[in-house]
Amino acid sequence: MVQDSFKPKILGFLCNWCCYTAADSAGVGRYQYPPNLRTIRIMCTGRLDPVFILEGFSCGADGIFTGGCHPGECHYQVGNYEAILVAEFTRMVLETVGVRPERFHLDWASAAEAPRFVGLITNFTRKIEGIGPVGQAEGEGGDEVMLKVAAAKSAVGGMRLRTSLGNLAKDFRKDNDYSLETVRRRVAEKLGPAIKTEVGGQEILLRLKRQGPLSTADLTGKVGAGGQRSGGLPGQVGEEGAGCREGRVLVSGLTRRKQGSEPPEDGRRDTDVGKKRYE
Amino acid sequence: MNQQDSVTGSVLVVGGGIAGIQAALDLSEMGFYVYLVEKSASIGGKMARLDKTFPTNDCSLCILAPKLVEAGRSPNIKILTNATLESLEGQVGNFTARVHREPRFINEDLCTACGDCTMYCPVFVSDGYNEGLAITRAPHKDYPQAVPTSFYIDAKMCLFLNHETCQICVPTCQAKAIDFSQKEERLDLSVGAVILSPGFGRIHDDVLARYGYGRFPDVVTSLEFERIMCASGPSMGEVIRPSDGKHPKRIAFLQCVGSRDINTGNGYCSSVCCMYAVKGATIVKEHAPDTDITIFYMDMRTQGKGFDASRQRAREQYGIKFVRSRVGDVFQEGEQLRLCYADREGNRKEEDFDMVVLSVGLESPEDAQSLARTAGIKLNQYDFCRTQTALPLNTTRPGVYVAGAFQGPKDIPESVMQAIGSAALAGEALHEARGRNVVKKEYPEEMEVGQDPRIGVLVCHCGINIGGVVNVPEVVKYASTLDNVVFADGSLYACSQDTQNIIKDTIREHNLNRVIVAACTPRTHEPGFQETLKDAGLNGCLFEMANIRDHCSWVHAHEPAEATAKAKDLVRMAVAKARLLAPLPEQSVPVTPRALVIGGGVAGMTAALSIADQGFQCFLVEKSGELGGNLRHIRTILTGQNPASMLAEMEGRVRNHPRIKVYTHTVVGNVSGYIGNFKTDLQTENGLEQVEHGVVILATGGREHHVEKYGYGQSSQVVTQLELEEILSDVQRARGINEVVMIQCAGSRGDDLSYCSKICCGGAVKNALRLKDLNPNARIYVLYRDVRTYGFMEDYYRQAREKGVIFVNYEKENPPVVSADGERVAVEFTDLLLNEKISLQPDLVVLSVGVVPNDVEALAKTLKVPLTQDNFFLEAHVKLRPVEMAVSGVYVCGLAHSPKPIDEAISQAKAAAGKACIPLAKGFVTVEPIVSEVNKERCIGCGICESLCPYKAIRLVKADGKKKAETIAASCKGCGICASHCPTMAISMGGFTTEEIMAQIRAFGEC
Repeated sequence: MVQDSFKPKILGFLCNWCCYTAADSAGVGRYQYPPNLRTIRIMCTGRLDPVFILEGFSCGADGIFTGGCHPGECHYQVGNYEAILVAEFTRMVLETVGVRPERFHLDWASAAEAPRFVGLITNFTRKIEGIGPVGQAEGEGGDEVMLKVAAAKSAVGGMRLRTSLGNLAKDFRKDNDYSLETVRRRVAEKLGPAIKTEVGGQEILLRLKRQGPLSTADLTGKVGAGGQRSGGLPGQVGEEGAGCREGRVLVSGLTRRKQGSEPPEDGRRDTDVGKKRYE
Repeated sequence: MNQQDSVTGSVLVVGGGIAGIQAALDLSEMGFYVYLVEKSASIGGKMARLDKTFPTNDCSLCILAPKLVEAGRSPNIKILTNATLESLEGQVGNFTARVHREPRFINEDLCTACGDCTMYCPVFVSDGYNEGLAITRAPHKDYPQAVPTSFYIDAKMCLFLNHETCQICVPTCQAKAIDFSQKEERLDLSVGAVILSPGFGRIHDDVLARYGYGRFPDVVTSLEFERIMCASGPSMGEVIRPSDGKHPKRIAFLQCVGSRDINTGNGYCSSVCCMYAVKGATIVKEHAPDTDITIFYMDMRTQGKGFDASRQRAREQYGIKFVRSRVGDVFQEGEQLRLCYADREGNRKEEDFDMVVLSVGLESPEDAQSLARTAGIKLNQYDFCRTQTALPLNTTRPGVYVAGAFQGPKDIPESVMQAIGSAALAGEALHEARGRNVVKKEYPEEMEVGQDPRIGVLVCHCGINIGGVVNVPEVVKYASTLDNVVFADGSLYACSQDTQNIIKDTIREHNLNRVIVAACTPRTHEPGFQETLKDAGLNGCLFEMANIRDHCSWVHAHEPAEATAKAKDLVRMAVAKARLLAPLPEQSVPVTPRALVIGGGVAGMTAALSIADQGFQCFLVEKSGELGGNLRHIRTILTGQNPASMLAEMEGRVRNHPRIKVYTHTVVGNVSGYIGNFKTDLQTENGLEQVEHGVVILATGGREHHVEKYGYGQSSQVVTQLELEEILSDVQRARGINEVVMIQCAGSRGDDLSYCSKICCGGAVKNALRLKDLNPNARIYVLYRDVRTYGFMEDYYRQAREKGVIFVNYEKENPPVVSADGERVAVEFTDLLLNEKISLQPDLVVLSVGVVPNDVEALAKTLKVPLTQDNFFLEAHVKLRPVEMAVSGVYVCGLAHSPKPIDEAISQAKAAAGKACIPLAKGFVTVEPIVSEVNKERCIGCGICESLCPYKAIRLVKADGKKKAETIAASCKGCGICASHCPTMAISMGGFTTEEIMAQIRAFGEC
């Protein structure tokens, strides 16, 4: 079976004060857990940027674990509440591009909870092993999924979605209700349509860039994000490819980037890896 | 010269174990120059020889080594090794201490610690660090992480020094560090105060011989066993028995060897042996689960914070057997050791073991009497330092203080607390002279960091902690293939002081501008390495760690290939981040030189007085109408002092101190700000008042736990120990009490409360003795689970037994039954020794109900400090930071931390005051360079960051008519919420920039 030989690559973002410390304590206590996790230390889960998660998947992570302090115990008061919001937003983006959202998990372990940390990592690793590599479980080829992930990465690095997310975070701060159902409902309400539009738009631009000229019919068929659900092409394409109509061939010249539509990477954005994998 | 000028701002610390090191470090931070006098050749003391520390089983050296390095590196700590105090003239403020120093015969400045001298020396010497279980040669170093880092020559064993032959080491030393011309020296040091922390001594071999030690090789002492368990020990951490090197299948621990035994002259309890036995047994079980382990004990004295839980794990999770019996005899039977003991029914039993560990007690230091004579202080009957309950850290000579096991047997956190507390006492005595004698640390000018990253990677073996699992040479080789890595090497212990010198040399030699250490966790070790970089002229932020121990070798111990692959990935990710690291400036924030102490009990008053005596203003807030807390209800103290006069004296000083402002009937409301700059709302009787202060001490205390069992509340004849104390203060009434049953652990240790309250056994003994004094014919029964009269309290327990107080053991599963119907109360319990049910109708049933913390949840929330499951404040580190909270500038002491008797609360309060005075004395705190930074060009002035920042540390300002965000560095804590929510990704975090994290993610993908 494939699952037997599949060793998932798991990326972890652990906050300095709780989960990273719990991981240290797990070491001190000599607890054993699967060796798949590669950790990046951040000071707080509030630092978690959706771009990091999408970049993680586009770099080949099969699962991404983010660990912080228990709600109410954040070293920075509210960082983990922001993380809840960011995580739900990211989860929705992943769902939109057809990546199994369970591949991304946010959870908590206090500095004193080494066994809990070990349990979380062990269970998460087992779950990802069960799901299989990205692409396989998604029912599409890895390349298809990766193209969509790349589109999503551009979208979550873009100003439009980030502004909406920031404004929603402000509203949440006022209402102070971070229960999972409220977060689910409001993120779906406030950000759901924008996610579809933005991700879909980015996907079209990417396809044109990478796959050359495509008919709108092809695009409509392929673009899962905006297209299938709204029954047509995202409006943004219409704006950019002026006068585009059904049946007309779009060309790959439509890649004029909007300001802030990609994460700033100081000239290091297209690494060799990125090139090999996606282009 | 006026009086003030004559006070010396230097302190002498005698004894370089953990207590001495801690005192030295804190004194130097407080602004005093320290002479740290150690009689052996390196500091570290007993803690350096321990494998792990209880109850967390942290690696002992791992947490000690950074302190050793810090002490070794501090320009304000002069470490004098092979040195003893010869005389101490003068008085507080102005002592002259004569220190005698034996030569090391190896020049500390020239020695590179290469070890060539050891290799060539023909003389074998028993390795004292390894308790004689290994050998070394005459020139050596006690252990790899030892400070000073240089080698020394054992003068008693050296052929040249004794017979004028050999000198073979001289030409082998490339550094020409060996110097036989060194002579003993006598130094006259001017110091203002003295702290004695000589530690503890060894139980005499005659005592150990009774258990076969010395005759049977497989009978070992607990300290020998520590070395046997330790990865850096003679068997590389493999638990083997000395006779044949085989793995012992059955191990017995014998408790109270040289403790609680008047035949050996040691009537006291050594306080730590029960826990270290539990620790040792647990560690063996972790390594070899099929080992059969029995601990033979009299009472399990696991009374400290988290100790009972650890003992419970030992029994339930690891299946370690606990037998309540004192082993009478040990003899060799073939390859085995046969133990003879009586079981609890009194039957004689024999049982065979492969190995016997003697849990040896803590003896007074060998040189206690001579030290006492030299220092002019008095000892107690056991040759430990004499102190009083109210003044636990003062010796009988003013200006001479005591810390650690010399004050009485104690564990590491207690020693650390006393060390900080004694430093605070010195700070009180010498506060006018603060800063007078210190040397300011100068770093070389920071080198320009060129565009081209030149990265050095050091991969630590950590003894075998990493190297035993991860293939370190392979990781080193891999690291050297990565772009921009111009140097890669392995290191046995990256944290040791000699390695710091190697790192500095390597930076220079290879012109490095980024350094990576792949070792343990950056949480504990990053600051030390950053300091090393600064010493070498590199900005501290050009450093990165890969955690290949705690996150790798330790947790994938059985998967060496996978662990090695993971270590490589982690190194590659670190290198990717390091390429982008930038030098960041260090910023500092001024400190409001005032303290807020919350809680006006003994701990709070002690802390406030110490802070005020150290020269700083202090607000003391008490929610009730009067100061004194629980001390107000205490009528007698076991050691005989009068609590009422103690309270009156303390309260008088507090009320009259010009630098203390007392607020009674006052509740603490919202606290805002951060270390150095707190603003706190006080709800006083006269309305709301806001105070500004630099630090906070939590001394919120605790109270008797309220039980609803054993008939409490149903009958006036069922009372608590505190209520009994009140009754006993009425002598007439007390004389009419003829029969009392005391029930220990009523509600504690797995009942309502999970923990042991530490004070109840002593309290019961105290009240029993008091009643016996008033009515010698009174029959007193104390029903207990374990009598925990640790330390010198044991004497009173023995006295109580001698006076006829009857102690009867009961088991948790079978507690006494109290029926309180009608006029008389009745108690029924089983005497396990007689195996009989006993029924009594006493005059009083007295419950030892334990201690619960006062309600502090709201306070914890506003201060953002964590609580334990039991609602005590959770300190930053159980062993080495026992009074600091994770949030800087907040400290804890007294019952708010955990249940403890008065003297320990006072020591801890002094310690909290000592720690709190460090930022106050410095006048500033350094802001870590992890704060946010706004790229003004990319910023669109939307204000989302300003709305979301939990610290109000980012604001919009107008520049050229456009709104732009700007960080207030002093307020910023570095959480990164602003960065992750910026629409244009214009904000980044120092040391955690978007680019750096993205580079790490991409490096993660490259495999």
